[in-house]
Amino acid sequence: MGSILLVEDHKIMAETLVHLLRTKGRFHVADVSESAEEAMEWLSERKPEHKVDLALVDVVLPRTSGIELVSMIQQKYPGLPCLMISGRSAGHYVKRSLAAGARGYVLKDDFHDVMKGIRLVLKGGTYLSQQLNKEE
Amino acid sequence: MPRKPSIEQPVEDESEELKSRLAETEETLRAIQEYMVDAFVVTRENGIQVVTLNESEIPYRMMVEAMNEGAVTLIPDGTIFYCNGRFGEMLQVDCETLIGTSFHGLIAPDERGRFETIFQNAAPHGIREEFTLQTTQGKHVPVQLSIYPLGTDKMSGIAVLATDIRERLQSEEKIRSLAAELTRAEQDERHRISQVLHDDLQQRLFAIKAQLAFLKDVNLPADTYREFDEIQAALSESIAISRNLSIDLSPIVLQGEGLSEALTWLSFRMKEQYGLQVELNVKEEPNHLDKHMRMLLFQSIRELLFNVVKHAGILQASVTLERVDGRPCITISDDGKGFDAEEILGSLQAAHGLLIIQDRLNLLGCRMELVSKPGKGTRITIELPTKRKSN
Repeated sequence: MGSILLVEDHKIMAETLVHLLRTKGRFHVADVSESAEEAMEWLSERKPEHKVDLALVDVVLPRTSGIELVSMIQQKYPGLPCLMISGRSAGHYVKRSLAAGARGYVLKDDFHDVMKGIRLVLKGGTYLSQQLNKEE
Repeated sequence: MPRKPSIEQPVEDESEELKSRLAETEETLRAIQEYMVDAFVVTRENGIQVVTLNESEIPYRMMVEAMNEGAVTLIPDGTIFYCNGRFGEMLQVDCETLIGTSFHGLIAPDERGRFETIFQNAAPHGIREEFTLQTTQGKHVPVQLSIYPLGTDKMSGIAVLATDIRERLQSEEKIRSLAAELTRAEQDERHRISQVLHDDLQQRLFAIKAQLAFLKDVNLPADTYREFDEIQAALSESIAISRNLSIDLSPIVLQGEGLSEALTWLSFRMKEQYGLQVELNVKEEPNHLDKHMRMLLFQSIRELLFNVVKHAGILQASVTLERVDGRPCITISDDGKGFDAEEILGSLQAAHGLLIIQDRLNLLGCRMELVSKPGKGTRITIELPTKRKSN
């Protein structure tokens, strides 16, 4: 069982993800942050017992984007793998996310794929959702 | 003794005649003094001649001096021969200072070439063009110049009427500003709806789809599985529609600086959504486009490309950004089936979309020209406004 930091600003989606991650994936959700700033603050102020194995980051976040957050996490916490989650399938988002250091990119509309991606990244692998449009 | 003929009678007669001639002369002088005579006919050794009176010009001169337009006469080399007070006022200079100087020197330097061409080719019926006059203090006065050749047997020259168009330009600027405000408000509303679609509706659909996916894991009858699949497919379609609408309403790429960047994205999008192959030729990126103008141009070009998809019977089009005769232009063309431009543009119903695009572009100072013939494709040129000099 892995411990996940979820960074998602859409409340409905965040609630659904938390519920499904806990009940269907049997993951531990360490925290839900609504912005990059909030996530960085939680990471820096967390207690030693708050272990995090993976950051599941929404690509589009208010103010600082999810892609920029991945860059910041990789600089400050290089051992923490990041998996992007998004409703956007455009290739340039995927390329920029991977360039920033993300270990994978999954789409919100296929939750089985999201679970698959989380498991692979937690095992040290990388994962790209098969539906991704690589045209752009 | 016969009476000596009286010498008094002829003297009296002569006196009467002289009095009569004097009265006639006085009457003529009065008429001349009161500007009732412009010219008179005299018989000289070389025949009958018409003599005009200098003062006969006075009413016309008064009219020219009182008019609200600047009036200038030039000799053929462009030297100012006469100008009225209003022209001096426009340039904030005494007329005496202007007379004898070159009119070309009053035109803003970068417009002198165009002025020279027009000046040399002033047709008999005259030419009207807008120019910028430059005062000695460096101020710019936008004017409309009406240039007419003055051709008589005795003299030749050029008459120039200058109309100050500052007020008109200010009104146009105000209209542009209001149009920009309208575009901004429309764009804000598009952005708001796009956000609602992305932040709310799409997320709800994602959440429902995710929950539904896990319900499927429960042991259910085969028919129910099939229904699940149908619901999943319908949800996926709804998500795709919502996503496309959200992107089309407020493309993120429009928040960038360049129009060509946004048009590159649009080319991809037209290919992806409608199969339209757009050839984008950027010969010169239009400079100084503010956000509102960029958005309006982007939306107009998208509508025009969409017209190609709907009506041209061909899935190929080109968009060219270039400078023509010093003005930035965008041309959207296709080699499709075309149409009778006159007939279509004359029908409010048929040209509704085109006329709306044209009106919106006109409000922001652009000019749209459409050329199309059945079987000959369609070519639409959008001419962008150039930046006007300001004080």
